[in-house]
Amino acid sequence: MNTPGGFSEKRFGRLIQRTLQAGVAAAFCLVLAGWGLGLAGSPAAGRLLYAGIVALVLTPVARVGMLVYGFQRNGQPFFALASLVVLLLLLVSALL
Amino acid sequence: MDAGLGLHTAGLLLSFGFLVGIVGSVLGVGGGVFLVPLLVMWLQVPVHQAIAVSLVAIIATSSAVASVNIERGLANMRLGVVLEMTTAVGSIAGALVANMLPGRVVELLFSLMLFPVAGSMLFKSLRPGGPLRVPAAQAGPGPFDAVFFDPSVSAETSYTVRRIVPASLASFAAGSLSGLLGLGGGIIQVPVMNLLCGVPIKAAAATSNFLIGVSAAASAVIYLKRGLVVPELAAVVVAGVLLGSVVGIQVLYRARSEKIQLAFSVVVLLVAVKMLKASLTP
Repeated sequence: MNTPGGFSEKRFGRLIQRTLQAGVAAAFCLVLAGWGLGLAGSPAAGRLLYAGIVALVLTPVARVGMLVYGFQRNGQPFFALASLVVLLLLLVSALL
Repeated sequence: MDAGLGLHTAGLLLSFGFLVGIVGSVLGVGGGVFLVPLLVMWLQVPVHQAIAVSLVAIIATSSAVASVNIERGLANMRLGVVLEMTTAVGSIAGALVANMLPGRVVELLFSLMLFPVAGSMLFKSLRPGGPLRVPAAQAGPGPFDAVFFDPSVSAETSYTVRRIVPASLASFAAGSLSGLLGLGGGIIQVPVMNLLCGVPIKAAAATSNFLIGVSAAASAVIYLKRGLVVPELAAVVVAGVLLGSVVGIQVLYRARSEKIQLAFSVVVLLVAVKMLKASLTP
């Protein structure tokens, strides 16, 4: 489905797909780097592993952020609003 | 290999995570059912930390698998994001309650929850017609209508989503289960979407997988802030689960899982009894 802005469902899906893949890849790279530093005996290894876990936890958050953008761009304000509510709930959970 | 675990333990955890990933994706129950009891009973990891590891593993598998399902058009993003609203609330509530409860009570609740999980697996294995399925309604005008290509029938399947309000309430329960016990919630989400909303089973499973990542993230943040995520442990297990899930989806996607379901329903039942006894022993 093409919208007036030319942002098709396919492009929207690809945006979400790439966001998820990028998050998982970044987390995996950080974990691998952490393991590498761990083998080398570096004290920074733990911090990199932690950063990898945080990157993983933030991946669905980034995905929801992209849903807000995508639904808005796609001319579906109700779903953009629903995504925004989910994003706010995730932010609230970080504050608890 | 890592900062805090011995190579031997890390290797075992990686292998175990790998097996859990394969079994979880084949059985469609998520890894937490096996992951949490093993970490608690085998490695004596405190149950809250085990749940935290399970939640991170759910995020990893959900993110990896959802990206494939979106490409195939299986995951209904509009339905997913609406259900995510109540799922996230439930997940936050579940995590807050879990963090107030003593470990032994959480273990008791977890072991009690394993009984219906085992029952569900047993039911699926004994049902001759395969997984639960209701005929997909013909698509009409509706905000959640969707269509996907089903390779098993070599045709496009369209459907209309019904009863979104009760489904949202059920999603709250699924989210609570996720935050409280580190289970994905698919055991509730998939039948609800399939039987209550009329979503075809493949789309229901894909949409459930899509939204459990967010519910797991909502509660994982709470566990993370309380220092309950041990990065060294989580990184090894999650890497194993992630690799196992990818292999499980690619290799065993078409495997007949009835006998595997039956065998593992017995395993889950035994684990439930053992964990229940342990949690009730003073």
